[in-house]
Amino acid sequence: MRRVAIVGAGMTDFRSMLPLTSPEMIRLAVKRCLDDVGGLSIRYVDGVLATSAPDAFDGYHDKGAIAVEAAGAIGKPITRVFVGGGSGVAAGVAGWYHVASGAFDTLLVVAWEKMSHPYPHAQKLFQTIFDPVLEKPLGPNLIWIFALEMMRYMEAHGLKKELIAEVAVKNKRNALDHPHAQLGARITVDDVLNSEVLVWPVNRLDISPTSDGAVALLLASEEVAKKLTDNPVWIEGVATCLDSQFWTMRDLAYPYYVYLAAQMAYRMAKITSPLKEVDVWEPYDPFTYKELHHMDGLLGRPGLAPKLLAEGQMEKDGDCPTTPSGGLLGVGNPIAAAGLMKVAELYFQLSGRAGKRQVPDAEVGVAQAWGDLMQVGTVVVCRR
Amino acid sequence: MSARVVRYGPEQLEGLPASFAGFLRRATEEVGSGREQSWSKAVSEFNERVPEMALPGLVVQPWLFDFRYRRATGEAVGRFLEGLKEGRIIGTRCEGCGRVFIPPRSFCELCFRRVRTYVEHSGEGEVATYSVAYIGTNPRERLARPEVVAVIWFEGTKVVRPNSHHVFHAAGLMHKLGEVEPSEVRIGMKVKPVWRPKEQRRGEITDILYFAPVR
Repeated sequence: MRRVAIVGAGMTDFRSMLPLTSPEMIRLAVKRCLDDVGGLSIRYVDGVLATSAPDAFDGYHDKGAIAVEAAGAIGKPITRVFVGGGSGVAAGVAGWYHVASGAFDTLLVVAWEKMSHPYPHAQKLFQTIFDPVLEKPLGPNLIWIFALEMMRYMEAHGLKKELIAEVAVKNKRNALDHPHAQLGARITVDDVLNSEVLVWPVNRLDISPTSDGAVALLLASEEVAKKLTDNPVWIEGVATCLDSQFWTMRDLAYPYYVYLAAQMAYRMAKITSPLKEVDVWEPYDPFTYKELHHMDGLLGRPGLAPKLLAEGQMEKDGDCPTTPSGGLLGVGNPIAAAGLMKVAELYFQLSGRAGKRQVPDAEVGVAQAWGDLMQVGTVVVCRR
Repeated sequence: MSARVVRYGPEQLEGLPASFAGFLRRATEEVGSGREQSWSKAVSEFNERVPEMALPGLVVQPWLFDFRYRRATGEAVGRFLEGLKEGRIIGTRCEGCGRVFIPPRSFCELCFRRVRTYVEHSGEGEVATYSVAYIGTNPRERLARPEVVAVIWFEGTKVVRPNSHHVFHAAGLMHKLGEVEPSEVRIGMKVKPVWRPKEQRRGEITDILYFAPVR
């Protein structure tokens, strides 16, 4: 296998509604990515790996084809990957497969989501993820099942809402330093606790927004990467792991699939003590508790993340800087694009381009996403 | 903004079976889909209320889909639904690993073998986790009364990982809780199914009205 580097990244603003079509968003992200590599010509790109959440959001079947023109893929191979919310990081994983295998020297990885299309709300389309015979007749909402997971997690470790709310406070504050963020804000724990209860224990400010947005990365083989940039960021570990779709028959207190994916990725990257060796963490944070739940899996220690949060170790200057980007809670959650934004953040951080968000001397980073019916863990480990 | 903008008129529903016409009427109320003209009006009203869409020169075009499905449930779930009609909870047990599946499945994903042993369960179980829903299908509308949603793990089906409290497997079902105040619900609480009157059962998951505490 060849070494694979991220040599450039670009993204659009994340907004609840962008006055751009999906192809226009993709093209803008791709243009910014190529500009980041010194205005590289699109002709230099060998192929495209595209990802976006269900076709239903664009209301257009086989929407992978939307990216053909917008990512400059005419006359080139284009592949779409999809594992629900885990798609964005899965695209980084699949991108690595493409380049590491020797089949591609340069590969554009693009992710987008336009959640403002469905009317009156994207939530309606999420109903299609439930079993139509056994679950849908109950009239479920996506937030129901995450509230069930949050409750089981809180019970397992005796966690209080007051502590979990700190994740929203931290991530929305971090997002103030992100130029493309939708919901950067200074809020307090009380703001979170006093926001509307949607499905207890989930309040409105525990949840990331629906968003429009696109992200693009350029991957390159070692030989090509060294020609294109002086500070490539290497993808050193990748993994995807799924658990059973029958989520009611599993214990939701701990995401074993995230743990297993992380262990595979660490093994590839020769990381033996993640808490000590990793400088920047970008776990998937569509809900406040998810950041902690996923960090428990990534660290391999159930219940450790809430302790680190309580000690302030997850701040930028702590021992375990977590979600310096602002995450889905702060930057926004255009589903597949949000996952790839996390990989892009590793690139910005490890190549020293993160501006005011910069974690000093960051060398190793981990990005992770999660999806389908609470069953997918996708992990990418990067090193500068 | 209300999603209830359009309805199928009597002229469209005429001649359809009553249950199907009823479904269409309900679906229309929920989705707000329907005739093109009213739908366009709803979108333009929406645009006026969302300033980001009120950009000069920005044109917004509405469109809609109306998909319908039917499907075979497979033998295992079919027998489960038939059982519900009779007030019985039917599951399957894998003869390889011994795990019980409720609702039943026709194969075991771990042993990767067919599962043909059907078992009947009392329906009693414990609350594995719960939440209190203030919204249903449409997140913009608050429910008149909050609903307690729960995962029920059926008694005697739990497999716990050695040396930890982590439950590796349990026959579990998402459903609602009733006859209990949200503040009284606890994880681990013993519950049992409360059935719809026999003559009203239709072989659907809602033949169980809810699960209630065992007192």
